[in-house]
Amino acid sequence: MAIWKSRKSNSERFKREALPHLDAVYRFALTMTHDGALADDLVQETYMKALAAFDSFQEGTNCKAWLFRILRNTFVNQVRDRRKEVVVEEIPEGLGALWADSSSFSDPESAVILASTRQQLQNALNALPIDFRTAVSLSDIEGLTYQEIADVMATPIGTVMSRLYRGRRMMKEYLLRQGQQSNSQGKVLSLVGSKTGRGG
Amino acid sequence: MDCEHLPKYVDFFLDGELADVEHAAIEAHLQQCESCREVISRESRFRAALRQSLRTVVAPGSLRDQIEAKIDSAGKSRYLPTLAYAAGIALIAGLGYAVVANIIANPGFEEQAIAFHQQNEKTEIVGNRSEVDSFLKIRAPFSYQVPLEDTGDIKLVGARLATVGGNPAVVFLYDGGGRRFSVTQYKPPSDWQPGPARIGRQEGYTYATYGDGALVQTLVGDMPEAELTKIVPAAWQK
Ligand SMILES: [Zn+2]
Repeated sequence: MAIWKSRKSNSERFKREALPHLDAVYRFALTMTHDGALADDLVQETYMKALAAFDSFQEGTNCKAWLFRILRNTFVNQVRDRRKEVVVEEIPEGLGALWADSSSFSDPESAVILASTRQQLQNALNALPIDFRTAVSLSDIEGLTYQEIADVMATPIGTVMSRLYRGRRMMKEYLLRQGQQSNSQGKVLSLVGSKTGRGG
Repeated sequence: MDCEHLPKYVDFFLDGELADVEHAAIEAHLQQCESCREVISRESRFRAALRQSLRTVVAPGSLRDQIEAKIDSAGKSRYLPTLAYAAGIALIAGLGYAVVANIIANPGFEEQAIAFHQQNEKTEIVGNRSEVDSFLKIRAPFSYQVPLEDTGDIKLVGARLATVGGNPAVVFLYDGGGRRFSVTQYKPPSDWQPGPARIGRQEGYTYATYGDGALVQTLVGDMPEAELTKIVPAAWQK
């Protein structure tokens, strides 16, 4: 009976600690899979694994980052099990020259980028290779530190920094192209009286 | 800190990853330099837009309910969560599968599903839809879906865990107007091609296999093909 009770309180404590992060965990699963049904499965599996391993979770550390790590490991293992090709499109590093600047753009370019819609931002993130979108979403959307991201992704902190830098830059380039395209489209469409253009 | 070097630190500055001294040096420079303030402000507006836009995605309510229910059942389970999750399938299904594997020399999915159909006595839970569902919720190692909803003629009466082609499966047992039939549900092989139900006869049983990229099921019964076809959901009929 005592064992039953402690198990029960364990699951109550787990609910208190881990369930508040469900939205973030679900977003991360979507970022990894790009598929609602796969994300559902992945999140459920993550929570069941986390519950089973809850003893190893250190109170006071970042529970969200811990759940992310379990999720990413589960996802990577699933992909490996299915023997699907893991697409890790590593882009040639070329550090040095690239680190000469921040990932920021000029004034007029930034205006175009900042006019992006929610959907365009989502598309830009989705278009990144998996390791880049993982780093960007963990930092810019979920607010993890470089060290926490390095732990989730099992990579050195320097790799995290270069993925963030390049990921953000690729996103902006994507948004710039989209913005320029839809601006010119908006102009053409406005000539024929359509309201679908995003005004330029 | 000066205008020439600041761009290198923008990301680290906004990510809060600089040492206190460096962070303070940049703040001091920003106090007196409008163009660098503008650079920082543009970048921080981009981050804010990204965060605000993409944080609006939230988990479906049904997913939250499912996970909460699974945590609750695990808390009440006589198995430890670890056992229920990881070893459960080995304990519960492993023995059954070993027997089946010995009987069937070269198992295809239909052969395995027919073998499961014949092993009525191995049913682990006998009960109605909600009893079956709460049994499976904590034990099934994948996201199953009850394959057929109860109607006036069809009723879910039991289930058990199994293994098909090395992958976890759930065998659902139905009563169709006094006749037993079963639906074995499993994750499809990687080369699975969705299409209309594959219907056939083998060892005196009729079967229909259908499903999408996420879940496949083989329906097995001893009724004529025409009758079995009627049970297959409309989406998978020719
Ligand atoms: Zn300056």
